[in-house]
Amino acid sequence: MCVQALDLLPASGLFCIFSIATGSGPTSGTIAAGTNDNSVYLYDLETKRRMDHIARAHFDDVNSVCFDSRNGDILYSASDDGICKVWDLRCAVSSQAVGYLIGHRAGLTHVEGKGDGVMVLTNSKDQSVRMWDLRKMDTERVHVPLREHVETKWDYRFETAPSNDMSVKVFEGNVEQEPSRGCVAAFYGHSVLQTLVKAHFSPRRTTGRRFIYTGSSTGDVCIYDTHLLEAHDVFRAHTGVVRDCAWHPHVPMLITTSWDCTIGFWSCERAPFCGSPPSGRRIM
Amino acid sequence: MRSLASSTDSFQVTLSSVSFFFFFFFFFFFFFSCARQTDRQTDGRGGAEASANTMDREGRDAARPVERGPDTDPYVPMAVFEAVARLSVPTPTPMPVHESGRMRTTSADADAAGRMHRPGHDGVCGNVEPGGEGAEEGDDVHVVDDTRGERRKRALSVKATGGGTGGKLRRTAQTSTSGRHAGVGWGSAIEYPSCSIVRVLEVERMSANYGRPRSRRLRAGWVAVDEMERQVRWGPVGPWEPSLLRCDAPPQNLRARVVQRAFGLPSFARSPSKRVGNSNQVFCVALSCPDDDYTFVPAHDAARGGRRDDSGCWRSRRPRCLYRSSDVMATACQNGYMRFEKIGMRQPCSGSSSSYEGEAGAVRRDGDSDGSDGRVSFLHAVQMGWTILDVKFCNTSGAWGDGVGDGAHRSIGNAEKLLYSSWDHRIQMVHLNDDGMPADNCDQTVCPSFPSVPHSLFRSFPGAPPPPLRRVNHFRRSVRPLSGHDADYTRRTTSLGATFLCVRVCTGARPSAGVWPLLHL
Repeated sequence: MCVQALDLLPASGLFCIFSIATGSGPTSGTIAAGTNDNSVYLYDLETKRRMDHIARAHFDDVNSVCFDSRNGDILYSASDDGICKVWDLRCAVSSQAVGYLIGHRAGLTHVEGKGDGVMVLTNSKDQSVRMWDLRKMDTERVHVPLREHVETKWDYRFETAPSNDMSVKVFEGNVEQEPSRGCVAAFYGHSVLQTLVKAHFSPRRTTGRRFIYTGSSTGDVCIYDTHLLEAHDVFRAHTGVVRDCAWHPHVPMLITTSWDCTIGFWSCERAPFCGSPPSGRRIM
Repeated sequence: MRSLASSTDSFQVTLSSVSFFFFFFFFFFFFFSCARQTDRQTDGRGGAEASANTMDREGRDAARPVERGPDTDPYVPMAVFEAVARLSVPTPTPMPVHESGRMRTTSADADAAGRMHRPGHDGVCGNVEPGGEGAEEGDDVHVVDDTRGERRKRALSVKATGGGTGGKLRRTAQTSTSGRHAGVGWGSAIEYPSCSIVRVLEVERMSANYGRPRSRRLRAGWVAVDEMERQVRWGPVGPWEPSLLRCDAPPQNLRARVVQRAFGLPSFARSPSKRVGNSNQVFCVALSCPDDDYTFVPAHDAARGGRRDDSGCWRSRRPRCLYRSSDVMATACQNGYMRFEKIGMRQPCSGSSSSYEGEAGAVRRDGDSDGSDGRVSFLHAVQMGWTILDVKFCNTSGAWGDGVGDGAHRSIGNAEKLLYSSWDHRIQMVHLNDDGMPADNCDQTVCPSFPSVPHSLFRSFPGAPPPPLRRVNHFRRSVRPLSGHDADYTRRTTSLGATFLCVRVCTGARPSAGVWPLLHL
């Protein structure tokens, strides 16, 4: 096995890398890592050394990082402080972020760009996945930790989530309706408990990134329609937490990983465009 | 008396002669008058016809009344005028109107407007009609060709965008209404970045004897359905980056039709799952075929002796085939095991799985005889270390080199690295082969090292119930402020797959230790 260790040289001894992301385009040889010391690390694969270190990028653990696939210089980071920050690596990295996506009332578990340089989704412990428009993001520097709007009275790993309005919300910039800027829609219906549940956009080639799919701590897989702004499909996938999902980019196959020690392969019931096995056919 | 009689006779003869003369004169006059009237009638009719013909040639509005009529020429009989009017006024020909109600432009107008029509491509934009109820893969899309003001349907092969594979996806031949040509669709998905949902076909149109494609091949165009902008796009085919031509808007109901029929909404079946061999919690999954990265492999030229450059990428004069050489799935478990499996939905061209060699367009699908039967096969498993929290495939070879010259540069090769992270200060990078499997031999091999754990502090609890979760919670909240104390944190994975956190805290003369399972990281 050919394994190579890329040392990030952290300052603290108790160190964890929650998320890694690989750049594209101008940052194709760059690896970003979100860690538990509230920082974002950048590693250069060509020089085999740590390139930069955004110390104190957030006020809490950085649970997810993601490069924008359209502009590789743009980096998103999501943290337990409930803020998703947008970084422009062309600027001085150690300075401040270029944008803030504020609106979640709990820590973020995952962030992902749509690929068009405009839309971003974040999955949060407030049991919602939100879609953001970067053209409307906050650009003012956040001076204080926004803990006042982040729910901290419960631990998502062991407790149930506070009651929430389990419905799809659409925000059109009304401040009274939603105090966050840039949030286009919020989808409720899945459960983000016990672990960092990830949410993704559906593949571009087959669906145009129309759907948002996410796992759930209830064992379900939720698919939201970003055009119709509704829950498209929710099906029982596992008996344990579905932490991660992967929608095959070319065929309608969905792969789920769960804490019930199983890997689920889900095919399309009706195969309009993929040549996948028909409904009910065992593919494993 | 004889002389009087003779004079009377002569007078009668003279009178008869005069009468005949006058009769002949009047007859001649009457004949001449009739002839004159006939000439007048002929002149009037011919003038009307000439005027009408002139109007036709000049393209005037044929519905305008004839200028000459009974009021302007009282000598023309009404019947004659009506006959002339019937001949001079053509039946109005309506302009071709698009189904949406907008006026359809002709090809000449399209050229004048700088859109749609391209010389050499008789197909301009039109309406895409998904065929039949519940059109699925393999159905036809009919593009209405209004170039010549006639509706001539050309059959194109619907190929799912899920294909993205290139090569000979499907060939359908359907005779058009003219009976002279047949459309043959060749699938090769082209990415159109701004479309929300896009169905793109690269179409090569051939003559009826398409059995000899190389002799009569004509590149016609591609069709895209832009669901977001409600547009149908149709344009000539570039190698990989076609120039986009905006077309008229399709009917308003096309959106729903396209979404519900042609594309279909995914609904995943409740198929059974597979249990991982080493019973453990599965944390994350990664596919070696990310959505944004495609491998353009010139299969045609590979069969003709295509070659690889120094970076391992294929170079060719004309890339034609698009596919990924491998679809490898990596799943990571809580105990640090990484599992590699090949998803057999798509395979490289015939030959070994680690090679690109193959015949043109030999993209295999389910059930093909190259070993790709659509099943997921277990390939490899290795224990990497601690609980793996994130897995990513990445490629570091960069874009394709130049030398192709037709726009295939934006693709990159296969994922050649696998990155994963855990509770460690390093990112582990696994070098992969072309087939996506971990490389066995590598000069840069650095085995991951784990912190040594004193056995006195390490305890496992095989079969024992885990401590209450509240205790773990309390542990996290209480341990962090322990700066200044002699605290030692270690993590260890047992052979049974359970990961525990071992903590030794020295507070004064009595050290305390504890072991907690890491369940929630």
